[in-house]
Amino acid sequence: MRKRGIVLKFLIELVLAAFIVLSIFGMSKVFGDETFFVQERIAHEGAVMIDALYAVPGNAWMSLGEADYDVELKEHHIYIRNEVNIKRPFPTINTQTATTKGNLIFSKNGDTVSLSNRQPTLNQRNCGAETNPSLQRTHLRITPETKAVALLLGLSACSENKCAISGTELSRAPETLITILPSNNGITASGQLGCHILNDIIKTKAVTTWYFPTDTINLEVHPDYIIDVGRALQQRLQR
Amino acid sequence: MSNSNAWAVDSMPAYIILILGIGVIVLFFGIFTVAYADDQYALPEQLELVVVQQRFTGTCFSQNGVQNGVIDLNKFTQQQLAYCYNAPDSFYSFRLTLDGKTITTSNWKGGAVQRTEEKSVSIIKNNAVTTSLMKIEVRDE
Repeated sequence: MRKRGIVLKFLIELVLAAFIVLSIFGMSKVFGDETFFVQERIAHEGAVMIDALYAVPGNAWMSLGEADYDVELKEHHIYIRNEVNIKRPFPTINTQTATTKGNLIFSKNGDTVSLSNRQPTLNQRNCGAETNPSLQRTHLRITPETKAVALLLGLSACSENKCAISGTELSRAPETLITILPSNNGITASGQLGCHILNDIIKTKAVTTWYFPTDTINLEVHPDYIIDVGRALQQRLQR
Repeated sequence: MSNSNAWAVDSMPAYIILILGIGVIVLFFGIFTVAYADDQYALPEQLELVVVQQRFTGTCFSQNGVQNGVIDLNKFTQQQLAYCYNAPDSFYSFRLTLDGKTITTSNWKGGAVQRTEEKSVSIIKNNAVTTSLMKIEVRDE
């Protein structure tokens, strides 16, 4: 009887010791590797990224890297679900409820912010009626950095910073004047034609774009996108 | 201490109390560790506030379909602000004043203001674009 009691006592103590050791090990594992802090980063930066996206004019997407665990957007909270769950608020409505893991891509489409693990297709801008001005009656105002666009369009008669299809056309007043300047980032456009050019380009390429709804047609283009702008203008200008 | 007395201490009820006690200690250890670790990652102070405020001078009150950062005074309403900013009660709350008109976010409870800023913004008033000062008052609830 006494021997049975000693064995039982030993077993209980063993289970108790194992429980304590495993609990401490489990907690050490959570905080010992970087997972918890990466989760914290995703929660904090994800919330700020959503706020930043919400203030962006137009549509945009941003990637926050990879996650091996579920990340969820629900109402105005971002949830990270793993061994330790993390929750972070943000003051944005119109959030599409979504749970994902892998590549975390936050996007703003119209006035809705959402999360997915693949690059989203963002809405095109509403540019109004199609515009296809005549290439014949178009003047291009360029700089040495953007001269490639004039060459692509065949506007080879240039004087100072202005190009047209021929010397005669260059001396006449244009129907359409397009100014193309270099920029440090993405493409900035104005005017209805500029809006359509942006739509044409973002159909096939992920480019950061800005649009200003003015009457003049200006395009400010990063050197990486000069050829894309030239090709888009080729399609838009009637020969 | 005799053997019989020692066995009384090692009895099952004592073990149950011990297990519960250790369980509570491990639980508190976990809670305090998580709370402590939570503070180890922090964004720069005021970053979140600055980012959140951008919507007030940018997209929130711009003309329909034209998000060019110009504020349309006709859209500078309580209803529009509630549409652009819906935060939990514990989050920042704002009171905005522009061109003599004051509106507040739905979580604004009044009281002492922690921070006040004035920003120059473009506004559409009487079909003309002019500049004006927007006063942004912040309470960190």
